[in-house]
Amino acid sequence: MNSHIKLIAAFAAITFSSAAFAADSYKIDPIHTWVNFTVSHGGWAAATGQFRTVSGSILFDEDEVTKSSVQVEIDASSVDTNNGARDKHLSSPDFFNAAEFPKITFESTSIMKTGDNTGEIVGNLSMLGVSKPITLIATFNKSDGNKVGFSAVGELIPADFGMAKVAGFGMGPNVKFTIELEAKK
Amino acid sequence: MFAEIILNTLFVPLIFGVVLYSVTIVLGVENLLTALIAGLLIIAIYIMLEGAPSLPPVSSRHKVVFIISGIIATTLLFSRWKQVGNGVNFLLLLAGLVWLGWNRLFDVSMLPRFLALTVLILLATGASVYSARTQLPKKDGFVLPITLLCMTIGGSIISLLGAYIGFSQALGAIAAFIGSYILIAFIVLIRQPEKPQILFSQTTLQIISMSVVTLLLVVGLFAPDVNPIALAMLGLTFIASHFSSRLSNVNKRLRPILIGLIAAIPTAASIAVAAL
Repeated sequence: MNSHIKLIAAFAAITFSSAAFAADSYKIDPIHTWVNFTVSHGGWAAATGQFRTVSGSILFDEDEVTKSSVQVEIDASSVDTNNGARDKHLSSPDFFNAAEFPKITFESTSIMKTGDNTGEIVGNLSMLGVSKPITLIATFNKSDGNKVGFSAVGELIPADFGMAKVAGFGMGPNVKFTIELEAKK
Repeated sequence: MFAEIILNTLFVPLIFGVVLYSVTIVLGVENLLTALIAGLLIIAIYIMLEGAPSLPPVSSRHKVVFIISGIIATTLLFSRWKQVGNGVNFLLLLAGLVWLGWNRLFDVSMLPRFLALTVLILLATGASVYSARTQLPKKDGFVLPITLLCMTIGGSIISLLGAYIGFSQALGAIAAFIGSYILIAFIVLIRQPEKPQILFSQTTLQIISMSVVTLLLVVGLFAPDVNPIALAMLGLTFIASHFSSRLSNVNKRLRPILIGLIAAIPTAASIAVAAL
């Protein structure tokens, strides 16, 4: 009987200690998440826009960040540049081709810690039927046990994803983007 | 940037029209090589504006080149049996519609677009069958080229109104290509009205019209704000060619202008519907 109790106690200790160190799962809070992008408008100004519909999940291990992962899904037709006509054109096959490729997705493949609260997230960005690796420079802002907040920046060349019209219409060639997100358990 | 757009959309296609006219004089209107070159020039214009397609094709923009290549191949293959060629092209366009719109095939909201585009394919095929049966290109060489010119201009404007500028450019460039060819033929007609005016062979016309319809399928499926009724109505431009062919008593020099005015009626109506 005594040995049984010891065995159960040992099992419980292992279970609870591993749970304490496991990565926590969070869902991206769409209300408090902003995916913004900036592209040179022929050198005149930096045109900016955002995607209004973003979802996804984060597996975050604060103690061992390399064991974390992130998955983001963006609704391509939710592009918003403060001009309805331009937004419709951006949804067309000249740019995001939202009817044919409704989702833009990002899935991390590796995360590296670069500072106390900074890291480098490498992952595959899938857009317009093309999947390519990109790197995000991320900052862990804060956590309260139920909620986490991050900021990230990155850069891509739209032509790499078949979006040649960006340069064709005199923009870019690079697009810079920032992600500000909060995620809840 | 603006200069490049004008160059690619206007000047190069205009020169291509001159090139095709020269090829037609050297090789002859009925030569299959002339028809092949006409098709290849359309593909060249498309690639110049939209870029080379990837293999295998990823998006509808890539698939267009393969569908047009298929149309060129089948039209040339069945050039002796034109109605068989029309039937094969009809099936090819329907298959193209399904291939292009595969991911939206079961989307109920897309039904009006699929129906409108099927009507467009039917009208284009019907016009091609009528043209082959009545030997329209030999009777009045201007009728179908002018009809196609109106269709491409109309398609370009409808695409623009539907917030798809890229294909508006592509259709505009093909309009410039056909337009420059017609312009040269018209100048020749003014100088030598008694000379028979066969602008394109039936085979060449089949290739050009089905290629234009292929571009319109992409506009109909993927332009964010396109009016499907306008696209179906644009197909009525083909029917106008039937009435235009009855202008045999009109002065030869005036006839192309009248044909243009008749063909412009359904085109203008479809643009008006698209603008609503």
